[in-house]
Amino acid sequence: MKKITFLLCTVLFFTFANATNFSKIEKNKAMFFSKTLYVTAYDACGQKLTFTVTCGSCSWGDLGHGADDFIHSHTDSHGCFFLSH
Amino acid sequence: MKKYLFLIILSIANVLISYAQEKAFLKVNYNFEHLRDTVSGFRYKEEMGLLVGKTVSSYYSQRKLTQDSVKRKAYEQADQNGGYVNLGVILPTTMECYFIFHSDKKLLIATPFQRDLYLINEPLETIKWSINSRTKNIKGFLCQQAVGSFKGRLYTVWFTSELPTNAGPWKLNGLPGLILEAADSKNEVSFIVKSIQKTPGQNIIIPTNGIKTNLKDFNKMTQAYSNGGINPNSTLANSDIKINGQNLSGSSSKKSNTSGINNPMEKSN
Repeated sequence: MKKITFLLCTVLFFTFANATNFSKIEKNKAMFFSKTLYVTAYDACGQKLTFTVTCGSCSWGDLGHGADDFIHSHTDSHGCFFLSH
Repeated sequence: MKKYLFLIILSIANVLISYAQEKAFLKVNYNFEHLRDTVSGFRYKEEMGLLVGKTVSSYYSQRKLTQDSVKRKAYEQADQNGGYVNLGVILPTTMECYFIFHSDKKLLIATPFQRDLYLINEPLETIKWSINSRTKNIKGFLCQQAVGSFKGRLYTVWFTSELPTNAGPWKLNGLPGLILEAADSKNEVSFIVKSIQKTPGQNIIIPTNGIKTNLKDFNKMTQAYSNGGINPNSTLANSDIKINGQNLSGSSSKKSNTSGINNPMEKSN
C-alpha cells in the first residue's frame, strides 16, 4: 500500500515539475485559442475546393475532422465535389 | 482505500482499452471494381486490404488508410503553416471496415458517420458454394473454382487451400481456403488479388468504442440525413466548429452526380 502511494506521489511530482516549464504551458494554452484551418483540396474531376474551418476552442485535429466531414459530405459517387444539390 | 485504487485503475483501463486486437498472419491486397452506374458506365475502382487472423479477418480500404495518413500529417503541421493545408487530390474511399468472426459466424461493420463511429452487428450470412474441379494458378498458389449466389449476384470465385482460412474479400467467405479472385456473372463487381504477404507483422484492431446499432437502423438514419431530415452540420455546430468561405473552381470533366448509385453491390437482402 505504501509502495503504491509512493509511486502515485512520484508520478504527481514529475507531472508538476514538467508543468513548471512555462513555455510548455504557453504552448498548451495556445492549443485552445480560436484557430482557423484554410483547406485546399482537389477532386477526381479536376475541380479545386477551398474552405475554412474555425472553432473557438478545439485542437487542430478537431478542425481536421471537421474538414474531413465537410469533404466527405460534399463528394458524389463519382468522386466529384459539389457545393449544393 | 484499496477499493478506490482498484476502481481508479479500472476506470483508466476502461478509457485506454477502446479496442481489441489480434495478430494477423496474412495480408492480402485486392483491386476492387464495381460498375456503379449502368447508364453512364461509371466503374468505381479502389485498392482494398484484407488482414487475416486466427479467429477474425478485417477488410478495409487501403486507399483510405493511405489518404488518412497524409491528411493527418497535413493537419498536424497546420500550426507551423499558419493554418494553411493543401490536401492534394482526394479520391473517394470506402468508409466501412468489415470484420468477420469466422468461428462465431458474426459480421461487424465499423463505419464513421458525422464524426461518430458506428458499430453495426449483423449475423454472418452463409453462402452455399458449389466447388468444381476447375483449377488455375494465381500468384503461385493453386486455386480451385467455386460458384455461389450472394445478395442477388452469382459469384464465381477462385480460392486456395494452400492458405488456411475461410476468409475472402468483402463479405465473401466460407470456403476451405482464401479467396484470391471473385467476380459476379455480369462482371459488374470484381475483386482481383494484387499482393499477398505472409506474417505482415500487423495487428487487426477491432473497435469496441462506438455507437452500437444494426444495419436497418443505421440505413434509416443515413436516409434521413440525405433526405434533409437532419441538419448535416448539427454535429459540427455542437462541437463549436464552423465551415465558411466554400469555393469550388475548375472545370469538372465528369458531370456531378448526387443521385447516388443505380447498380448497388447488394441487389437483394
